Amino acid sequence: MASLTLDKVRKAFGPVEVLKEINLAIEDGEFLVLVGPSGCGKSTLLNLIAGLESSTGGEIRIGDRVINDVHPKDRNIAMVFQSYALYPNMTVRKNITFGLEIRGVSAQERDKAVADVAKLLQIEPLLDRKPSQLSGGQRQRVAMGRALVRDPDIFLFDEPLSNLDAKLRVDMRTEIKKLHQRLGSTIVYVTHDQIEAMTLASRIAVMKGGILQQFDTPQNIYERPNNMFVAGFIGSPSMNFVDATLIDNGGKLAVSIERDGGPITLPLFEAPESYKAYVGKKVVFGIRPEGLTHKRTGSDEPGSQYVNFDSKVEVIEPTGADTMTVIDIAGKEIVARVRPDRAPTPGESMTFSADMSQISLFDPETELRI
Amino acid sequence: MADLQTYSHDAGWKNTVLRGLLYLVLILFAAYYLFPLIVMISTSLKSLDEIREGSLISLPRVVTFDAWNYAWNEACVGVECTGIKVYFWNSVKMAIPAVLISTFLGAINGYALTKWRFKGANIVFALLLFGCFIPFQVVLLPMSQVLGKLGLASSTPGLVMVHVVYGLCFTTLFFRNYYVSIPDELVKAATIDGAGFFTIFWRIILPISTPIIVVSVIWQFTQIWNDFLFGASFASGENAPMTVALNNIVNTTTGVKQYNVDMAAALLTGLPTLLVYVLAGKYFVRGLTAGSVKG
Amino acid sequence: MGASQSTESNLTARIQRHLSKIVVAPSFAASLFFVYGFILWTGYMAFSKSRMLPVWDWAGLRQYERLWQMERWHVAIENLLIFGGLFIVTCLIIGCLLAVLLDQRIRAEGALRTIFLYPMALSFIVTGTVWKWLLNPGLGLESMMHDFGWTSFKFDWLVNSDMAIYTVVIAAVWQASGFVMAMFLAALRGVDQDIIRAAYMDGASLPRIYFGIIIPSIRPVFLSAIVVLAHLAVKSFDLVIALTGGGPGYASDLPATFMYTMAFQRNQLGVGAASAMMMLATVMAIIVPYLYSELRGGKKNG
Repeated sequence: MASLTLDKVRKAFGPVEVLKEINLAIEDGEFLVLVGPSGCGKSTLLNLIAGLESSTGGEIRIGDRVINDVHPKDRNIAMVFQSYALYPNMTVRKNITFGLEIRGVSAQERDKAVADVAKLLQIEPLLDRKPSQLSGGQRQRVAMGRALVRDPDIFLFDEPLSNLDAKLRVDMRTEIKKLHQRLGSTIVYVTHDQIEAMTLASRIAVMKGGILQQFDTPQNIYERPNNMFVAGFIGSPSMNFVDATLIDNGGKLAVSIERDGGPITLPLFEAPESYKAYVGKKVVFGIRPEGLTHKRTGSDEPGSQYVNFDSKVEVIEPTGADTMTVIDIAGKEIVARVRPDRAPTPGESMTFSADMSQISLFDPETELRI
Repeated sequence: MADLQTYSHDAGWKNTVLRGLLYLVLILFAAYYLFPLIVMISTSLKSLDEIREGSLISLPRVVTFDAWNYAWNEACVGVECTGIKVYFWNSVKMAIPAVLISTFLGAINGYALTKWRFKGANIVFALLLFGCFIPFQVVLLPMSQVLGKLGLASSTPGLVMVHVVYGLCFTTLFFRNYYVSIPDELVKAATIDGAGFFTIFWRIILPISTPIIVVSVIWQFTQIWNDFLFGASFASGENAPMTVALNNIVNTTTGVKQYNVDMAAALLTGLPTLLVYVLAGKYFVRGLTAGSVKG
Repeated sequence: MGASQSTESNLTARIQRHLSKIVVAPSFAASLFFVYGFILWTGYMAFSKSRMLPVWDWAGLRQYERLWQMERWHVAIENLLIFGGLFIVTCLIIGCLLAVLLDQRIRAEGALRTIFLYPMALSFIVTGTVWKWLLNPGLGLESMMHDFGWTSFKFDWLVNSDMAIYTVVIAAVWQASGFVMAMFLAALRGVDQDIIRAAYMDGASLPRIYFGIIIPSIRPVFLSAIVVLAHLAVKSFDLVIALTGGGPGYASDLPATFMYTMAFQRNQLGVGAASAMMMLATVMAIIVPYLYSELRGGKKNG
């Protein structure tokens, strides 16, 4: 096991810069998730770490070793692919030991290694089958077995769950997490699914357009997103964004939102220094659906973090545990999360509570967090 | 597929009549295609007298294999009268190496061009592919000169070389199109496992290439065995392939025309490819349509 | 470990990258030499004074002039147009018809397909030989018709200067129409079933569905078939040699047989080369636009 450092790593394909100066460092045993929309460069970054592509600039280090020019087979890494990439003409056993065989590991040691890994992943009955005879979940486990048997410093996962159906995906996710806890391995995991990122990672690296947007723990990224992209990308349903103006509401800062019939004024609960510069200016007000709920008890009391306002309800979407309620504020559709028994009827007007301790403000031009 | 019964709005008897008509037309066409083959076989089994007296389509009254025997052992090709069997073996000696070599080269080319892409790979492929389309008349003259200079004129190795060179474009096309749909991740995984270019080829790619190998072998065998132009231009004489010998036998103007021998010789020449077709026909079709429908 | 190992694996990686090129190089070189080099060579011969032996003196367009002055060449070209046109059109019609018929969920479809296609597996020499026998003026079809009672039936096309080329059409269609059928059948099977169902629900009759929707939607295959057939037609050599020998005289000559005769039998290398270049130009005029449009339209994988 080892740490991984990416120092000013760049990658260009001809004139096109696919990765622009990535700086990341994770410790031994961490679970790093690279997440972002397609084309953000996360798979390219993974390929660089694996050695399947070479970087145009910067250094990649595993432990203290600079591995930029080291062949993949000598980097002591293992990779699990989206399509598992199992060798179709070989049995599961041979699939797992192929790499060892190339390295000249003796037959005895190979057998032992396969037996250990098969036991760990519970694939012992599958050892003599061919990949075409396995289900998706079984193939996934064989692919992991192939990676595990190399006892690498770092595990690389390239969207391993994308090809599985929803239920299986959730099950495998838990298995991967359990494996990580058990083995304490260093893992770099690429996905476009932010739920996977949130549930699996010890730290998340959000990427867009080849640039690292934010690198932090899941909870921090969720509560304190660096910019509007991260705020909108992480969390489902995504954060609501409303154009607003930051005003001085009798000594206290508040957010004013335009609306037919008069503006809504939402006094802020906390006001860090950075807000002062934006008084009187336009801002983007961000609040997650769970921050907008039915009227809370105690919300009328002074000092409450909840601020109430009324709004007409456009659509309701029951999800069982909550009912998503869509309201229209100044032409923008906002989603609130309401308890099913307090759910309104479309067309009606209802009082909502906004939890002002859980909001974010963004600069409308730079889209950065204020 | 659209079909009379499912999509026809008419019911009952009109349908049955139409369907009957359908089968009739198909059977007529089948007869059209089979007719020459049946006549060929039947003529080859008749004696010359019967041919002259009987009609084209009458089956032989007395079945005799004399014509076959004659064609195989005694028919005259040029001045040699040792039958077509010599030339059968010439064809075999020429076809087998040519098929194997061109298939192998096609496989490794297709592999290199799709799984280890380099700059300009597409241009290389395009240029290679283009060569499939030229009329061979345009290379006959230079090739005969080159073969002459290399001392390979009128020889089997020379003919093998010609067939390999001009078969490469097809085999590369087949394998390249096949390998394009094999996921690149397979190669990536093997690379991380430590396998190199050739190891991956032998141990991973080739074992899963059986379908396209069969297509390529069948296509190449058919093309090469049936070829006449190259055989006539570069290997007439004692090393001639069977097709050249057949033409010689049929078109000699000396003596009595032995139609039954001609038919027997034609059947002998056509049997190998016909057999391959009957036994492995669907692969043959796949090969035929591979290059043409999807370019 | 460290520096020396990374240089070594760096070198291996470099060789590996170039290995791909090294492997393809021989085939590529062979293609360059034996295809493009030879085309240039033949082209040069067409500009030279070569007759019996290749000679390297420049003769400008002299050989082409001589070529176009030869009546035999004009006959060959005319025959190519007649043969090519009839061959392509007939194959398309028969192929399309058979494909549509076979698409109707026929019981013996596999067997029928095999029967329709087997001629393609034969050498053109074999085909020519058998049709030569079938169309034999004295003992072939003519005599068979006489036996049936149709005593005035005459079929001497094989030895008739005006009609000889049509015998080539008959034999060629017999050989190749099955292949066209296979192409069309595959295309018909690939048509989106939902479109057909929608038309059916709209009340379209079966012929309407075929002519209005299905056949237009497989237009690309028509084009492919035409290209392949045209290509076959231009290259036709084996069949003519076996069937008519180019005769009677040179009445059924095609450019391919013309070239062979001039180059290998008449000691007219220059003219032979010139005719070969004309054939190349014709084929290119068909293939190049087609390939270009195919690659343009379907450029998905690199």
